[in-house]
Parts: sequence; C-alpha cells; structure tokens
Amino acid sequence: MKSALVAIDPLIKESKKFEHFCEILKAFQSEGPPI
Amino acid sequence: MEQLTKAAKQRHSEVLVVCSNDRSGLPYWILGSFSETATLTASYPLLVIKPTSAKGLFSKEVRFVLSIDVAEIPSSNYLRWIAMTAKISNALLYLVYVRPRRRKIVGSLQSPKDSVDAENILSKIQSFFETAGIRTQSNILKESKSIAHSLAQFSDSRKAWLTISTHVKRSRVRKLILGSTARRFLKLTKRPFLHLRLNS
Repeated sequence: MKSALVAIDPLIKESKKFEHFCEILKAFQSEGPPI
Repeated sequence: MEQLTKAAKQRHSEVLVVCSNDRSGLPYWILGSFSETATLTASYPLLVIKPTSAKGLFSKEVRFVLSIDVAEIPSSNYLRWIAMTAKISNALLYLVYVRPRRRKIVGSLQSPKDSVDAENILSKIQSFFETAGIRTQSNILKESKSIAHSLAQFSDSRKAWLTISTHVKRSRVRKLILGSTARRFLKLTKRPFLHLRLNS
C-alpha cells in the first residue's frame, strides 16, 4: 500500500496505548506489509 | 466516519488506519467503540490496530489470514485488492473457512449455500491467487465457541500480520439474528484487522 490515512483519537495520544500503536506501525514499516 | 473517508479519498490513500482504544467493561458500554462502528460502517478499506505490544506478536515471514464465507464469495475486485496487497508484502495467504455449527433456530436463516462444497470453492479462490503469484494455503476449520473464536485462534496460531475479512451484505433480519462476525472478531483479537469494503 502506497499510502494510508491514520486516524488517531486524541484521548490516547499521551498514553501507553499510543506507544504500542506506534510500535506496531513501525513493525509494519520495517518487517511487515508496507503501510 | 464520513469525514475520514472523504479525507482518505482526497489523499488517494489506499487504506484508513484506526487505532483502537480497546475499551472493555463499563467504559465500553458507556463510551462505545469507534473502531467497531468504523468496521461496521466504513465504505473504505479499514485497518484496525489494537494497542498491543508488537514484541513476539508477528511471524517472521509475512502471513495474512483471509476469512472466507463460502456462502458469500468475495467478488473479483475484492480478490484483486487482496492479491495486490499480498503480492507487495510477499505474504503467505491463508484462506480460512470456518464451517458453522448447525443451529436449530437460526438454521433456516443460514443460506442453503452454507452446505455447498467448501473445498471446491476454496480451491477456486486458491487458484485465482496462485495465478497471481501468491503463495496460499487453504484451511477448513470447525466452529469452536463461535466463528470469530475459531478465526481468532487460527490467526494467533499463525502469528498473522493481518486478518482480512470482506464485507458481506446481509438482510436486516439475518444481521440482527446472526450478528456480525467482524464485530465479534474485533473484540476477541489483539492482531491488526483489515475489513474490506469496496465501492463496486
């Protein structure tokens, strides 16, 4: 996938959940399906 | 949701990614779930990511699980979209059909196609993907607690990067009684879930 629109709930932006979300996106970028 | 879809279309995005809040219990019942609503209503390919640690979550090789309902075979534009995504990811694609248990009350609401030759349909879909150069494996599973449970267990066992479901049109009555497998799956899984609804 060449481009994706990422929607983020501002309520989770400062939480651990957001860190995990970013961790998964990074994993996608480095080893997984390119998003 | 309309605003997000519009923004995604304007930017020519191929997928809309939503971070699930993963609420449960009382907060879930009071505040609801945006990702769940989005899954049920989005008219765009939607990827829901649960906020789970990525450590050890995924297999080394890229694996996708495609949930197939043999009673509602995805049209060729869905299959092409999935083939393209699997191809650029060099993914191994598991085609999974969960054979539903017979239910006395809702049995009459299940399409008679449920009893068709699932092996034959899966093999046709498999040859479509193999012609497109995608490695596939087809699997017919028995329904455990529910179809969503069986699918979630399978995705976990394969450490799948994506579990993909395609939109199925159901009548209001069938929807009310049979519910939505996508919605149940979303509650059960910790893995990224891609719900595909394309405007044909």
